[in-house]
Amino acid sequence: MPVDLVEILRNVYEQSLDGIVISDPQTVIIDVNAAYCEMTGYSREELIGQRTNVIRSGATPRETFTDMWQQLSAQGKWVGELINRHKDGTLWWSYISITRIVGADGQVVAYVGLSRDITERRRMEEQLRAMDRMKSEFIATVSHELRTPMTAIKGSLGLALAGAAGSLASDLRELLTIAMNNSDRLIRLINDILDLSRIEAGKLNLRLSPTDLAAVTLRSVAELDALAAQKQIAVQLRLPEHLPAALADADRIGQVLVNLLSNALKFTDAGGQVGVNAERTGNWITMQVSDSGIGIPREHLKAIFERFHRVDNAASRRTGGTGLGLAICQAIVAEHGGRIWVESQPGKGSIFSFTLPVAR
Amino acid sequence: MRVLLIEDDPDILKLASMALRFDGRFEVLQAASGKEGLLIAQRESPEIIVLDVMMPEMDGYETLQHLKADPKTRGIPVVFLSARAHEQEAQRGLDMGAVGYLTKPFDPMQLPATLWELALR
Repeated sequence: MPVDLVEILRNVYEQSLDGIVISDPQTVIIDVNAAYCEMTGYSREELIGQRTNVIRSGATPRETFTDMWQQLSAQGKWVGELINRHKDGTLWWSYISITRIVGADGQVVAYVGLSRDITERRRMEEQLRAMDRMKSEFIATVSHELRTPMTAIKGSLGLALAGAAGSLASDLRELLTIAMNNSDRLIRLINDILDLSRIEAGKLNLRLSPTDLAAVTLRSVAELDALAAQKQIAVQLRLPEHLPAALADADRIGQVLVNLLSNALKFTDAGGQVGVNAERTGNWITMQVSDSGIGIPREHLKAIFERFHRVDNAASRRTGGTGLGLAICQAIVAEHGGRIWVESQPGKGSIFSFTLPVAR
Repeated sequence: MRVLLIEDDPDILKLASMALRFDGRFEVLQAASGKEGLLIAQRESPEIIVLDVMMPEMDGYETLQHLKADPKTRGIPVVFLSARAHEQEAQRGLDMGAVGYLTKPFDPMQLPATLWELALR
């Protein structure tokens, strides 16, 4: 059966869920479909004979219309978003495409607009932006609310242990030291949780610049001097002399190195080996933190970068970490465009590796 | 050295005062609000001010603006104290004229050495 294209097109025009408006070259409305009436609030009779700007709200930036007419004149079509006023006075958003129809003589005979109501989508976008602002505010408030009492606890214990309230009996000193160590642990946990919240809210805000990784490594190792001395482990640095600068946030990479080195030291017995390597491969620098410690069972190798994942063994319980360090490391490295991974065997130590881009 | 502590949390105020007095090098003045801090600063001319950021009514930034606007207090070095550990917040404080920015939780035992060094610079 031959297809009556005209009939089909007429159906499309009348039944389309998108509003269609046809105007003459002077933008006087010739016809509209039912959907256009519904989205504007005007009847067909009210619209025919009116200029298309009958639905203009005044809220659409002027530049949008300038751009519209420039493009219609040059290319015969335009796509964009407009803020319109419904007959009942409310504002609504449309995503509209306008096409210029030209006759055989090259003169404009009509403009056809195809309009979709995107008010709901816009509202959701605004809600998402508001939620995003609330997240930032929440992180900042929680940060303050948790950190203030922690300051008071740490401060009181510190002062008491320093003798500011008089000398202490040895049992009392021991109790206060336990409290102090655990308050430090709580502070680390709060910091890690806030860090992770910030990362997940997309607010890591890296400050990237050409970074001397040797300098960052030296600073990170220095931060862990006390732990290394306690474990009688000398951290070996094997960094090539002409290692190029990495495009990185020095503080954040320092944080990654401190985390990895801290784990290496904690999980290696006294007198063992911990080392840091670096090498360039093409446009990437690979850093490695290796240790001769207890190693990681195969079944934990992938999950070890997940939040709160702990390899449940005596060493893990003893070290009192937060279980978030590696998740934070992974997020920081990923934000730099790099990768982090581990190779390990129980009893044979571990090598944590991560990559960073070379600074151009 | 005379130090003025402007901090609305009474516990932090007490701890910081104790730590500074215990150190032996400081005479400590206290204020529980930005407004009170401004009055004491004008009257006593301390050699350094420790200023909490998050305080009700007049926050630390507004207090600093007033301190800098008054010729009597303009030259007193100010160190911010805040739980807001963002780099941007710290930079904002330094851009406004503070000489230092301490984040909470801070170790009150470190406070005397830090202040002494900042005041002498």
